Amino acid sequence: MGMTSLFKKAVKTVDAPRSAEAEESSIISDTLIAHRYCLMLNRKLQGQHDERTEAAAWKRFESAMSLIPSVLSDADDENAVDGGIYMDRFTVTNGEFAHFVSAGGYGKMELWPQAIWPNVLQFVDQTGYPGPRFWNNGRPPKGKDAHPVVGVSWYEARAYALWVGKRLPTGREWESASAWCCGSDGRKSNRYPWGNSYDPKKANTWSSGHGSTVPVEQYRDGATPNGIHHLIGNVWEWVSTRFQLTADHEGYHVTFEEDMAEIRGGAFNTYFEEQATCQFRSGQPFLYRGDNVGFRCCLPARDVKDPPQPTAFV
Amino acid sequence: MVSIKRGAKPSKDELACACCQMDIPDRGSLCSYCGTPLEVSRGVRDRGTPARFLSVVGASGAGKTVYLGMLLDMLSKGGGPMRGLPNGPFSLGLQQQAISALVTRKFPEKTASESDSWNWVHCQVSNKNLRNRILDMITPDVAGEAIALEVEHPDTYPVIRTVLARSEAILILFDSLRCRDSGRTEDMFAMKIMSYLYQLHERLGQLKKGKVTTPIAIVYTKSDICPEVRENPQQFAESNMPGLAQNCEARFATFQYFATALVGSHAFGTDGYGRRVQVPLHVEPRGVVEPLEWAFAKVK
Repeated sequence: MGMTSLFKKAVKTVDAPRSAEAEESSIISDTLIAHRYCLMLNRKLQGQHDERTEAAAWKRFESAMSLIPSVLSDADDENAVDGGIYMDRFTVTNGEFAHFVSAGGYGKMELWPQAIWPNVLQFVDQTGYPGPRFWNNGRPPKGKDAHPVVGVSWYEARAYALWVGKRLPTGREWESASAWCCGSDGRKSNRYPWGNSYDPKKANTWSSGHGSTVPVEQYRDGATPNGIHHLIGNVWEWVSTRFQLTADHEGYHVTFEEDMAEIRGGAFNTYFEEQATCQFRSGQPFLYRGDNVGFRCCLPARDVKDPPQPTAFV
Repeated sequence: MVSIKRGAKPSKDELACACCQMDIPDRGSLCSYCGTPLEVSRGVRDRGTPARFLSVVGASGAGKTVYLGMLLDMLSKGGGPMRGLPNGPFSLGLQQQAISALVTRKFPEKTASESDSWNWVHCQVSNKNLRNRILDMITPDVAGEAIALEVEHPDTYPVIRTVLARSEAILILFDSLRCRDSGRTEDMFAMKIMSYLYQLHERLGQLKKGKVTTPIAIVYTKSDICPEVRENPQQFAESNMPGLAQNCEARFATFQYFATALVGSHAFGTDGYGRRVQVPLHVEPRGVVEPLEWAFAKVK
């Protein structure tokens, strides 16, 4: 931190109490900086904001999320919605998740199911601070702010999603976003966001040879036509759906030692291209904090407020 | 006992067994002395380069077939510095068996104890960082039960003895979960196999300063379900297999510990006979090529 900013900080602390208007403006600014624009746009959440504020939130929203007009729904999934959803264009990055950590997200117990409160105390980084498993002193590894956050359990992903006013997508929602329906009836789906043939230049899997995560903006050619990136490769993505295999998989009766959440899309170390398709489902225990599982969030389109008048954007 | 010459050049006129070096008639399917498939010996003769053996051994259920199959597949894909080209279609049998099973969320069938049903691998291995070095790697996929029997009763399986004697590097696989949870049982087996190797080299007069010089890679498999071994394989060995660790220190000049994993996540299933089987949900190889890369660098 330079001397100027230190000075500013010192002055700020001895300033007279700010007006309520200034305080609100600061909160709004912090909310937008922390990528929590959906708190201002989600119909289900309380709070009224003026049109200019909502316009600022809308600008962020439109650059960060993309509309999936038609979503296949799971009959047994309570989160499933008919109609469209907005999906994050990128997986949540270390830089974004750092806002959640520094805002004390791990201590906001309303974000965590009561049953796992004892586990929340164990969601610490390598130095014992609350945070993703591979961080140090509550900070991401150097130079990895733009990489997807990994080392987070399903619960940490869910807590972050709630904190930013979104939620995790269901497995079918994720698949609808990635497979990008094609064909005249709009039903046929692709194996990959770009088509049906695997291309190691379009996704970071084992055959790409990186051996670790890459920044979320790489592999732009592998995006869906509506600009959702890295659905295949880089990191598996937690979805809200519980993972199940058919009871009679390959002649076996399959059981799980512990409950698993579904993960989608494959990761930098996924070996078989067949296991990094839009349709392939795998699972990990809900408390798993691996180096190859991250997440992205979504918001049902029906929950998004209507955009303000065009003049508000000026 | 058959005399063993490492790196001997096979004759162009007659078929010498690639393993025991005995002259054998070029008909039938196995060497009548040691049981090595003639296909392997023909492959060596046709290539005209010295055959150099590298063996992969381990207890039953340690995961030798799936490890070898995956290793070959990774070498043939050439993702890292190590490369591998199979020599002859028979070399692809093991790879195909392992990969076809894994891609459908199964593990390959257990290797039969009968030596004539083992898959053999003959593969030209190179490292792009060591340009002048090419190794013709030959190894059978030996059944764990056969190894245990040979260790207990030497010469039950002459082919194992001959292959181990000719090997320029040996990868010994142990199931890390069994090592952690089964107390001394795995350590006992490890001590037996290390003693067997020591005696074998002692009889062949291949000890230097009282130690076996052949590089030995101790590979702990299934580290995906045994996180303790991933952190520090050597410390894991010293804590859970003290007999093995002491044996290595005292009798082997060059050895190294490794941890490997193939599966990213797994469930369990019960088959039609009520047996519990592991279901690999997806494949994420970790530490598979490293033991070979290390052995490759150590081989003279």
